[in-house]
Amino acid sequence: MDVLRILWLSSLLMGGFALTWMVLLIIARLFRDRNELRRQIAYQAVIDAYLRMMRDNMAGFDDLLPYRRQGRLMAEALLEILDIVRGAQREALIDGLTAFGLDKTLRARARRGAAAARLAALEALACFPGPETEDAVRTAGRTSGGPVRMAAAKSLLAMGAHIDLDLLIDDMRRRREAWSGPLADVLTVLAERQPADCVRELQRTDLPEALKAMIAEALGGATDYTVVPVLSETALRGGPKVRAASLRALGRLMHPAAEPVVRRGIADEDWQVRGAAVAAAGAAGLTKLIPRVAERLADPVWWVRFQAAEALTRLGPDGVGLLRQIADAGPDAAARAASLTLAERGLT
Amino acid sequence: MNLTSHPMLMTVAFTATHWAQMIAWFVIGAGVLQNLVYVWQLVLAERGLRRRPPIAASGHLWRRYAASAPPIALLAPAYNEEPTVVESVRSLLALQYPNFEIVVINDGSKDRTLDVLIEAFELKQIERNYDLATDCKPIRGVYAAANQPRLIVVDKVNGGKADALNAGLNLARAPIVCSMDADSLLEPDALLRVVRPFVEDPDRTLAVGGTIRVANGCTIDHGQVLRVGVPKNFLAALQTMEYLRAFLMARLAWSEASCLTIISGAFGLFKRQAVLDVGGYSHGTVGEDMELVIKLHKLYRDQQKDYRVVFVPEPVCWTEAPETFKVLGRQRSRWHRGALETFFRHRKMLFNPTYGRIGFVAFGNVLLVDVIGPIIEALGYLLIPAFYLVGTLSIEYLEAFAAVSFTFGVTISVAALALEETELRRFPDAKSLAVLMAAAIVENFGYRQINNIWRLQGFWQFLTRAQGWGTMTRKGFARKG
Repeated sequence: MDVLRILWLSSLLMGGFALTWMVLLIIARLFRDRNELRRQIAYQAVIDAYLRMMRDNMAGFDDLLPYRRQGRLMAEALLEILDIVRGAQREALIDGLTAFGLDKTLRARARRGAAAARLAALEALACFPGPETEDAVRTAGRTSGGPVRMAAAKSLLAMGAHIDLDLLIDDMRRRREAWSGPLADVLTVLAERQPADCVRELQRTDLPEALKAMIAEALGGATDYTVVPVLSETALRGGPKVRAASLRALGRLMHPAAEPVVRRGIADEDWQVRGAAVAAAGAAGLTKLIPRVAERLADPVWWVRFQAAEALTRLGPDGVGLLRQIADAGPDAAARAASLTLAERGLT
Repeated sequence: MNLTSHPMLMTVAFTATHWAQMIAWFVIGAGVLQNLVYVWQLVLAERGLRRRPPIAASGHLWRRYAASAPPIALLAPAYNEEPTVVESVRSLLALQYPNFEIVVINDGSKDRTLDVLIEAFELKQIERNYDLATDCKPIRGVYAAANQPRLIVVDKVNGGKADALNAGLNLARAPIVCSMDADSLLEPDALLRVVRPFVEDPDRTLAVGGTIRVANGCTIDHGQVLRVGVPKNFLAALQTMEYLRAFLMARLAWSEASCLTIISGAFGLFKRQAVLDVGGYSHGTVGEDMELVIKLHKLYRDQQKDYRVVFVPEPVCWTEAPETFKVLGRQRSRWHRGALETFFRHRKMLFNPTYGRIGFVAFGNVLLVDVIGPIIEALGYLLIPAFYLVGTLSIEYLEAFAAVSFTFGVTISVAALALEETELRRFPDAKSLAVLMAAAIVENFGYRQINNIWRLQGFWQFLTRAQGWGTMTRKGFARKG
């Protein structure tokens, strides 16, 4: 076949292909519009049935029967309702749906299928705690990565279940997953419930700095002061991100034992650590550090100067008084930082 | 004249024909390469959409991402936006995001932009502790209102968009900044959608671009797109198809290949510290958006750091497309000039192993598409009559090549539309699809060629160092259907 013939044939094939594709897209859209309309009607019917169930947990039962195999639809409708309903009505709805067997449908849905459907099922399963649900959620989390795993972890936490942090982290490392914001959310809850586990992870030497910083940050929300010595240690010995995160956590914990560590942090070589240290001094009310914090008003980095000025406003009359003195002293960077913060806070 | 009796003339004619044939093959080769790039983009874009399907409902987004969503500062430069600025700011204030502030930068407007903002939001001049971390013209004042804690208005001396964004960067305190045009319309959940990469991989993500769509033809009220529609204006309809290809196919593909070099100035999220580390937005270029992304790539590759520049395919921002050839031509010439300015400023990155795939693939593509692309296309159009005159043009081959080029272009456009239909489906009905498909066919007859002339104009402006933005005449968004 000569070149000319090939060119014309390719052109005809592509033209025919494009035309067929266009027609198929238009036909598919017509079908999709109908399906979407059907789904909207079904979704509204499920919502209405849920609303009836909230008033009487056996009402709406029959109306839900046509949709009992549509796990995603029912899960998404449930999540929408639960976003706005609390108390006795919520319990009535959950009781009704448990009797209906939705938990069973969702457990099956959580294990297989498209990620979007599994996510919805896992999120909704948090409302149906129990050994079977826990088992299904753990299985779903173990066999999937990324958002599905995090949804499973959050669901377990919402059910009050224990999470093996070691296993979670090692599995994420094995799959080379990013240390995401949802993981930070999980760690925040774990720091409250399982602080010892978080401390153990923070002490591991094989974890990347980004993850350790995340764990340190989460430990700032721990209700157990036994975490203070470990955070004090990492505030001195970790990489810059870990040192800064540990100092922020110590600031939130407001424990006076952190003072020597914060003092050293204020003189750290890394500006992010210095910024975190002065902020921690302000947050923890470490008034003994007022002179040290004030020194940072002349820091070469604006963020540290800003944080130092903010911290001084939080350190009571002595801090504000010193800030005023520095503001009046001269036209340098420290005076500018002091006067602007005083003006911004309405303290002039 | 009989050439055979003039050996000298014969040699010249033979050499000229030989060269012309070589140029013709070069033109064909470059065209084939460009088409292969399109096919590659399609494959990558499809993979990207499949791997990371958009989340349909805002409620799910909020449930999954709100808790860990970082604070964002929206930087909205405004220059002579008196008729629309208040409505634009109101729609920004209505955005669904847990923690954000809006920094409107009045870039020395000559009209009453600042006054109408002060009146509408009861602003008072305040003191604010900020750094002059990036270069910008003097800031004359900062304004805020007790009843709008999310809003800050900065009044500064005129310095252009990059300068205004730098001022905003200096004033912002959030770790993530969002650059945008004051007249862009954002989806209510735009920030939640675009922040996803920062939530999913906070350590490595430096910048995220969102999809920009053409707002012409949509029903808009109070700064929000209520119903998506296809423009009635012919030019705007063609641009709708172009935007689909550019964002849903090209940018998504570049993002998948870790080669994204441009995040639209109309809407993009950046890690503030990273932007400060590269010195903020560059002055003296009309392509400050591309320039910034290239600077980020350069710094992080120089420092051998692991990082991501990502594109999110969900439509999050709507912009008004020009409806006249004059305004569109100015816009396209400016875009092209911006791309060339950035390319030549950073020409050392081209095929430089230090910059990996950015140097080879991304810069190689800019070289192919933006630097030599318009010239090759123009050469192609010039060679046709030249070959015809010297009698070496095969009309049969010309017709066959034109047919292949046309059907290929249409197929690519239909494929981009298929991507939209598979995952996003923002166009309201089958009729809209039919209109867009018609646009995909029509654009091959004249529009593509005119576009190339505008690109050549941009090339000329770049070579002659022409300055200025030209006037972007907009109709405005206030309640239209």
